[in-house]
Amino acid sequence: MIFLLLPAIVLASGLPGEYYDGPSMLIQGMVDKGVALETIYLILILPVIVTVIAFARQIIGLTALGVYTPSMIAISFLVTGVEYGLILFLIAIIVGSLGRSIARKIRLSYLPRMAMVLSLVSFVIFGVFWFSAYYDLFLDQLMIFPILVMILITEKFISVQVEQGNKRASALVLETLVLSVACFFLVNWSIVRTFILDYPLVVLLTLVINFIIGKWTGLRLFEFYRFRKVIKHVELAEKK
Amino acid sequence: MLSWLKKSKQILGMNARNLSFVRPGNSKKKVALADNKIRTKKLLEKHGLPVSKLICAIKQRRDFYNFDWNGLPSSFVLKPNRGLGGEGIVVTFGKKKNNKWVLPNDKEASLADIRYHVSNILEGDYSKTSAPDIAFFEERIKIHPAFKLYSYKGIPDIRVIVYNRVPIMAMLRLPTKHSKGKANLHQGGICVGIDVSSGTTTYAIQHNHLIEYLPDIKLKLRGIKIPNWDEILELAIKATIACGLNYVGVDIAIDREKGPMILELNAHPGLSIQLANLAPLKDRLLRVRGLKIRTAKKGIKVAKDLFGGEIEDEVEGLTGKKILGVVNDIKIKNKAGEWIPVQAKLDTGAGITAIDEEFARQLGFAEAIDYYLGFNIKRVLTKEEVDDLSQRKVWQDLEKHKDIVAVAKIYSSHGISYRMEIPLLIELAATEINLNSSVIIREHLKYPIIIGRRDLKKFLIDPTK
Repeated sequence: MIFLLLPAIVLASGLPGEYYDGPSMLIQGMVDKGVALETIYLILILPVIVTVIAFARQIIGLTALGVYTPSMIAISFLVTGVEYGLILFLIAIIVGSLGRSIARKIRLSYLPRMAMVLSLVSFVIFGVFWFSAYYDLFLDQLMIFPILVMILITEKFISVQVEQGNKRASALVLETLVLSVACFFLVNWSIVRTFILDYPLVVLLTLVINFIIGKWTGLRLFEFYRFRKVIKHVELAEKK
Repeated sequence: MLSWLKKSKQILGMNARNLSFVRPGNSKKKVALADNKIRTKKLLEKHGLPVSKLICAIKQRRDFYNFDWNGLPSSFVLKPNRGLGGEGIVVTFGKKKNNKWVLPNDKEASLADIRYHVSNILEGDYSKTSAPDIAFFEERIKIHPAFKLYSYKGIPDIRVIVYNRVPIMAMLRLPTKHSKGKANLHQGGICVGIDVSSGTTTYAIQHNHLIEYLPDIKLKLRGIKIPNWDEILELAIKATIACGLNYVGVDIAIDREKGPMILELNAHPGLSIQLANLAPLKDRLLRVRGLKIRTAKKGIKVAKDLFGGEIEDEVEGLTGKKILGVVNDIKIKNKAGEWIPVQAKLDTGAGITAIDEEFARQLGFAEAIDYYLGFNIKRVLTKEEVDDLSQRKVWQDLEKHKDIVAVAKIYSSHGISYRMEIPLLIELAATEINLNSSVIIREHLKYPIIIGRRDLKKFLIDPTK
């Protein structure tokens, strides 16, 4: 039932505001009251990002560090720009794992140790700030929100490192990064942007998509590759 | 391409594992139980199943401070209660004179190191969400001699996937130098697939690549016979019955003295077992879904009937030839028409089948043998002597006896022998074969009959069987 109703709701949300080809009436109203368009867009795009991540996990097989981490990174990239965001991210991860390997040598309890590592990350990012201020680089992108996100992710990365080993953690980070960058480009695409702002309730469709993805029991794309030798071997059994 | 897709449908992927097998069969409460190693251990013990003995659990800081650290034995295993994939496990092999414990990677650990590790476990370093955890010490399992050559400073374990009380697939995990003595796959251990019916290893993988030999020492990984195989399968099924899970990976290690013991249960067993066996899981799971299996014995029987000897079946299917081991129980018809059971050796190094004189006499060929002995032919001859016999056409005279159908010249390292051949009817692997066998005089063979190449054309020989 709800699936039939959805398209109707979505189309209704597209009713134009004051200007015929502007954002939908719904959004126009909010903007007129003083809500920033950018904030509205970020809230609306979040369901799209998490759906992309769910798709990447269930259908493609990219594991990444959960749902929350890649979506946070993608949104931070939106704020900082992708180049600066990547630099920050790499600095945080590298300093984080270096700090961890040093901190492991000194015997400390988990939380103080993690706190030290994260402080170290903060100091280094402070150094980056100083550097950018001195050379007038990226000044307009120096915002606290994305930096906090990076630091949070460092903790997540380190705990994966402890639990599952260096190699697995690095692979996960790489997958997360690829996914975040992909999400960033999708979200930053002007066609997507206009479409979402014109038809804001389109995001409800993500519920349907996620329902379908959640019921999918087929092999993930990467699993076809992972089990290629087994698949080849099934052939032999069938020849009989 | 279309058939490739069809084949891929037999593979179990992550989505299908979770949605179709783990979720319906495993209730949340019971999954939590399997994730809790101490509770699992206690439950299994209550059901009378063998587990490695718990030495002590350190549940909280207070236990940590009150614990009698000096009472720790010289060899133990330290584990986090909710650890993932073998991380955070410390194994000690003994205590040195300097009061330090020996670790697998030739390192040593002092009491302070052990205490620090316990402290880290309590803090939740190795638990899923960094939540506080319990650390526990248990007895170390002693390696079974069958595995001694194959594992690098650790205990190999056997993972059996059980679904619906039927053992579906199994693999042997060997710790390597690279995996620091741990048997977990992603840490560099080797996984070797096991044929469920015979308990013999099949294919092996390391780092997701097929390998044939054990790295460094070039030991063949195929054909290792797992000791106590049926007992292992039975334990695996009983463990799943005890814990009430329907789809589980059961990890079992074999102790030198106490035999198979359950290490832990895994409610979300990994999928790589398909690679180690080069066989698809989903196909097998679907075949046992819905069966009503009551006892472990029945489960084993179903597994052996359904999944046994797949590799052999494949080879047999392709070549049309049966696979046999080196030593086989066969039957031979004696002259009175009775079938006599006997052990035969299949020898692809010999051209012609040979039978021991004594045994041939028992079968009723005494008269023919005495007739042959009457010719006074030496057991070992030189080339000239054989040429002389051929020239005199002695074989024609020999073949005058009704039981001597041919004469064979057998060349060996000692020289040449001139043997009589008698006709035999044998039954090997349910096939009746008419053959001529040479008779070996006065050598007292270990096996009364050795079957040579000439009569083995219908078979393939697998020396590991």
